[in-house]
Amino acid sequence: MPDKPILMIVNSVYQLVTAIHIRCRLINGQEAELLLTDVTPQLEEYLPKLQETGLFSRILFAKTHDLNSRYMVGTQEEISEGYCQVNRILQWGLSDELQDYSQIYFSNYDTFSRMLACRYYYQPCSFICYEDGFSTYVIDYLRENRAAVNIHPDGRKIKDKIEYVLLYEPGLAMRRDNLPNRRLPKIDPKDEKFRELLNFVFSYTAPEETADFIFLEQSFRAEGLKTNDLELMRECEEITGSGRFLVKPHPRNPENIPYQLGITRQYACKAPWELVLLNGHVKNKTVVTVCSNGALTSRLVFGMETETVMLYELFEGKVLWQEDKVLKRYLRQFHRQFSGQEYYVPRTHYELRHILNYLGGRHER
Amino acid sequence: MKDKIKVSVIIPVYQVENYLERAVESVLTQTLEEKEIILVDDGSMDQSPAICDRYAREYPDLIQVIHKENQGLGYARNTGVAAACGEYIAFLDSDDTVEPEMYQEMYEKAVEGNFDIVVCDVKIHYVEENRTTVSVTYPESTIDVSDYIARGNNITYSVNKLFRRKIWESNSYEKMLFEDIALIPSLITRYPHIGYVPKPFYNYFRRSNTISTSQIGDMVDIVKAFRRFLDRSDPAYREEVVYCAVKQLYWNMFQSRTLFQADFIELLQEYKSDIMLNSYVAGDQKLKKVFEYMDKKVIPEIFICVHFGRGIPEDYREELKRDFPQGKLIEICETNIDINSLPKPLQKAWTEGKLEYVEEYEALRLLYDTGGIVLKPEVRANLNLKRLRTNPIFFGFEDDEALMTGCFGAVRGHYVIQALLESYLGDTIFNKAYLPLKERLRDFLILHFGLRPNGRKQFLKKEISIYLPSVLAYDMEDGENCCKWVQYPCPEGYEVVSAKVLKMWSERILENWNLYKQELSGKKAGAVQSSASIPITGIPAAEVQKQLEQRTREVIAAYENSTSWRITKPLRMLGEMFQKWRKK
Repeated sequence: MPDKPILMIVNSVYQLVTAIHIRCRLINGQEAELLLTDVTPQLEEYLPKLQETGLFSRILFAKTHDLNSRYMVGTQEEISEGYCQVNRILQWGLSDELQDYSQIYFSNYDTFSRMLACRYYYQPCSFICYEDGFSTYVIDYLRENRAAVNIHPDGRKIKDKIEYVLLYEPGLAMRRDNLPNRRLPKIDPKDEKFRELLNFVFSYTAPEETADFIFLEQSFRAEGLKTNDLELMRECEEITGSGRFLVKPHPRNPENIPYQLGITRQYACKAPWELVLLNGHVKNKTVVTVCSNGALTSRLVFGMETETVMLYELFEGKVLWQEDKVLKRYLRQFHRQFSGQEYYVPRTHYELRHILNYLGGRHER
Repeated sequence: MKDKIKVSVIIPVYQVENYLERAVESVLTQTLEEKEIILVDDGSMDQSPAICDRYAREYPDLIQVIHKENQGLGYARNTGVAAACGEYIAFLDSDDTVEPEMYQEMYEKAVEGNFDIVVCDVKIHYVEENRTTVSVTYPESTIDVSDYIARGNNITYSVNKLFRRKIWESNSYEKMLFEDIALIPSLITRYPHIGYVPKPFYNYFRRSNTISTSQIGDMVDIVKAFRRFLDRSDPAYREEVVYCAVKQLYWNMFQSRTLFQADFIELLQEYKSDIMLNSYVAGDQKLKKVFEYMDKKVIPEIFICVHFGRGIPEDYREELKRDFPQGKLIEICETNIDINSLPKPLQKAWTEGKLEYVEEYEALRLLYDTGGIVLKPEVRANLNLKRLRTNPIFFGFEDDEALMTGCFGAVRGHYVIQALLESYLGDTIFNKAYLPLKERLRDFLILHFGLRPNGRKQFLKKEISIYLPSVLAYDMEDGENCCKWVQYPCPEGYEVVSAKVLKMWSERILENWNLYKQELSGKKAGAVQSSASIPITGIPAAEVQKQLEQRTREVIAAYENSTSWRITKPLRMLGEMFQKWRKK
């Protein structure tokens, strides 16, 4: 057992769930510290409960949101400006001092993680990337022509430090970064102890109000992308009928536009989606989304079957990522291998209508 | 007396009370005296039989009448031939006439050269157009038979020829339409000692509503007729016969009987080697076009009707037989389907009572195996459907976005049908929810062929023809309809049309009208007013456009020819000059 503790960096709820899972399942018995960031503002709310669990010897908080948008692109000189003051930057943004670690778990190749890699570059501290949804399967974040930072001598140091990538379904990995993938065991939804642990951390209460069809909004507007997602929502609402349709807004979108447009009522539930799934509160409901990771979570993370309608074939707008084609390949692979009987990918609007009618019991079966 | 008859003129008579006397009189006034006239009444129901009898009474030594049940022109001629005594035989159609010297001169020619057959030219009278033209049989006075066959002018006519009666001891007409084509040219090859009188003795009156100009299902006999010509001609003239037949086929395929194009293509393909290796065809630039059709697949005239849980209405078969006499009907019902031969998901659907779902699958399967046209019991096809057989595969809209699956067709083994069949085995909403074929088909065509679900005609990836609702689903009386739904009772003279199609149709007409107005206002602002009186309802857009343009031309012409316009012409010219001067 290594003497030095393990550090786990968490930027999102999804990552936090997975980090706790890793903590309990893979690195149980080793000292571990948790580092929450302000990339997802709500994370800070979970801090007291996390401390209560005693899962982590120390919980740090880092303001990395602004930092992460810097030093990724620009000239090599501009990037160097940031990387030559790594220690100072890390010190300023953190709630407490970092120490020496044996392993650092991270999910995102953001400036913060890259700077950590610089800081521990010459130390025997390996970096382990753990999955953050399908982007970890699809996107080669370190590809040289992807961002200027990837050819920067310090910015790319993280590549040398990564030991492997942890994925719930390594067989679905389509990145071409040559990093080894290892299987991350799925979360067992029947593991009541673990479920209670998460429910405690997130103060989970079952949603009081729900609907037969839940549309998972994505952060297109937050990213300034012009898409037809609102049209798709309206179409679904028209087919399913109001009262049976609900849009779960994406936390990063600044406004709840679907609600303002009268497409949906307010989504009152504050609990993380992963918890709603884990607690079985999406049973007998249909999840509709363009390609939100949340719709895949039930299968990827929990191995559960949920009626899911993926609308990515009907999506119009600027492509989401440079790896759009790879993403589609991934989704198709996912469809083939894991989707089961309850996974639908309509390719025309007519097919969407049939599917929703069928799932909504409006079609004569 | 009978021994002295030189020419027997046989006139088959059927429903020609208005023309018959003129025809008979033209024979009675022939300069040839040693003749007989045989009127064969082929079961006419008008006054023709009485007219025949009157003539027989008036000219008992010259005219004989035979009344018989209706069996068609060929059999009537055969009956006449059997009763004839003349040395030579001539045929006259009862709505045509002959010039007074015809039989004398032709007979003299026959005797002079001891010819088996003597031919003359034909004067064609286009009755409605009030014009005539002479169709010359051969460019020289002496006939070179090979060249005559190769040219093929007037070769198929029975009526411009004098035949030695002996020929008819071993030859006769068949009971079919186009019996002339089936027999006469082949006789030319087998009795090649032929004389020619280069005079337009025969007056052929061409009208609409005759067999030459109208279209009925039995006219598919033309294909059989050409087959007879090719098969029964003397092999010594094979090259010329093939060339002649191809020329005639070409004319029929692309000009006069385009409706039967698919049947002609099938025939051409039967004689592929003859045609491809024919030196005359190879040297004829125009005819080379037929080479393109040698490998073209056409939809066979096979109708596929699968009906589970309901029968076929009586008129279904009758109408099919009337318009497609040579068509084959494959019928599958619940008693003759082998359920065990169906794929498992279809067996499941069957046990769950999803009969229409299985019905559509079975129809697709048969279509793939045999090729043909799927025709549900609730629809009726008409002769126009033949036109669609030249497509490799066709479908139609039922309204502005739904596809019609009551009638569609494909060649045998078409990959689209194969893919549709395979789609029944996948884990898709179409199979889970047992959706009707039209839903599956529309999505399939959108995804793979870029179909736009707008109810408009489309030709997808140069392979799939998609027709308007007026072609395969509802008869909008524009002459384009091939097939229509008949599941709702409808009084004669009316059509049942879905509200969506009616709306779509009206909008289309209005759209064309507005486009036209827009176009016109840009060009001739003054011409619009007068054309407003043209009724546009119920007329297809193209027709409306044509009518409007015609009307506009008329109005402009009327105005320009008016007295006031002519009187004011000098003033207008002065005005134009003044304008030009001012611009300078």
